[in-house]
Amino acid sequence: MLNKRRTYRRQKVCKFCLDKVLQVDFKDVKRLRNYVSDRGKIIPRRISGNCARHQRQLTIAIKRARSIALLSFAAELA
Amino acid sequence: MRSYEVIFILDPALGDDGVDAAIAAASGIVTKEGGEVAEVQKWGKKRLAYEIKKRREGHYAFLRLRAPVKAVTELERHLHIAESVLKFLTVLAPALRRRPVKAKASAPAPKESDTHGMTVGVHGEAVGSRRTGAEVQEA
Ligand SMILES: [Zn+2]
Repeated sequence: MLNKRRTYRRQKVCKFCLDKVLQVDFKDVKRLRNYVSDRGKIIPRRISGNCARHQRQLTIAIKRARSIALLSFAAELA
Repeated sequence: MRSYEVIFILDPALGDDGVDAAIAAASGIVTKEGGEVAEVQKWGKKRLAYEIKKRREGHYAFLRLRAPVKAVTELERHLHIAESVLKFLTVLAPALRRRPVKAKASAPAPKESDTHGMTVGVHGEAVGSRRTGAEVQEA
């Protein structure tokens, strides 16, 4: 009722869907980098706006990239 | 026969010929065990995201295989033993497919294909070749 303050949040969309990615590739490090924080954590889809399906693929891809040292598991201690 | 992607990281001290030799050795094992190497990529010397065996960089080599399980286990055994290999990763590269069609009864069941099971994998190519589920896939 008191919904006067409509929040205009920018519509978040899944970038993978926009680009019609069928399968997120763990070798595509450039792209995966967009979805990890500077500490190396995977960014939740609440933030990134990814759809469930692509987020699922993305997490697997990131974990694979980590295991072959394309991405780090954690930020190094300074 | 299934498709796999194998990546291994080689010692940065290795020269160009050393890298080629290591790749040749790996491919040799695959072909000997009845598989085929569909693609070879050398990504060159890259910085590692973390230290592996006291190295901060390494030569990346990438192979795409079509091989029986035996060839892959043998290849992995070799990569474990090889001194110059810092680390390796093997993943299944599933045939691209769309979600299975709901109407199973009406569509003719595809012949024995290796699309079921743990095919959560990756692919690199052939994005254009989507299949509609109704088509019978070639085995
Ligand atoms: Zn999506």
